[in-house]
Amino acid sequence: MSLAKTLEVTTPSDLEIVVERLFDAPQDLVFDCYTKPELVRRWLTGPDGWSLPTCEIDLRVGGTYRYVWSGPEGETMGMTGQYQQISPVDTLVSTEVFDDDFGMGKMLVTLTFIREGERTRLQTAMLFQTKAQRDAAVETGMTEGMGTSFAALDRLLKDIG
Amino acid sequence: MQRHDLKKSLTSYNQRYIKLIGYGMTESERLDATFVALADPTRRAILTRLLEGEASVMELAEPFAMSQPAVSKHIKMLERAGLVSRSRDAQKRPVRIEGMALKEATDWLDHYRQVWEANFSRLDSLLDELKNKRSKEGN
Repeated sequence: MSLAKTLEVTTPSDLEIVVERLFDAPQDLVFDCYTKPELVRRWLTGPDGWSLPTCEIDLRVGGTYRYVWSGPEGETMGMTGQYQQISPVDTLVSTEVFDDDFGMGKMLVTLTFIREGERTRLQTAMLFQTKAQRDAAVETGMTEGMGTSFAALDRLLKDIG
Repeated sequence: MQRHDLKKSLTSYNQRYIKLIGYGMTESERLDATFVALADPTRRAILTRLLEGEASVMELAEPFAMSQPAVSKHIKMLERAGLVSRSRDAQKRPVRIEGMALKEATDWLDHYRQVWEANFSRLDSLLDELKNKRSKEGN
């Protein structure tokens, strides 16, 4: 009953954001919810008012998946992914690129489904590309990656709490 | 032809979330200053100490193996980010914590979390449904 489903957001390095969450279901079901379009479109819909009308998945190494979200004002946000590694019920590795990120590079996303008895701990690791950090920082006016801030803030909140 | 650079993608990634939750650039820049200020362990320790109440620079420097000017530098960064303020009148010019900037940063993180939370709580329901279906089929 008192299953702690706390969402953890951390940044183990300058290049990563890791999101972790425990689910009260066996590994294969959680894996299915990430790989079967009819299931994905029921939950991966984003903020309130958004939906996922386009959800196509070709689940094989080198195969692509295509998601297009649709917002309350009719706005859309599309993303294309390509599977790099598929180890059913344990690991899914893919590259993802958003439509409106032209020239901004890809993310490498590693989903790890960790069995904890009848439950599953899901780790989502997003790895960003490495090049020209300093140049980009100057260009965008961001003196430090926002990503690192998650860890910093988390640590502060932990210190305080 | 495509420039793959981290900061841009990370920035754009975050800006997308900011866009999704209705934040403008100004807030984003302000948050950036806040997060930069929070990225350093000494500055976090200073903030944690200030939660207990205001303190002079000398008092704040005490637990650290660093000079008072070095600590003053950290305090200036926190001040720029709006995380602390220093009173003008008192001779000691005590430093105190300012809740708003921190709250803004926390709220921002909350919004980021909320998108994930919303997705994952829907996933919870879906998983429950699938589990029930499976146990029915199993019997």
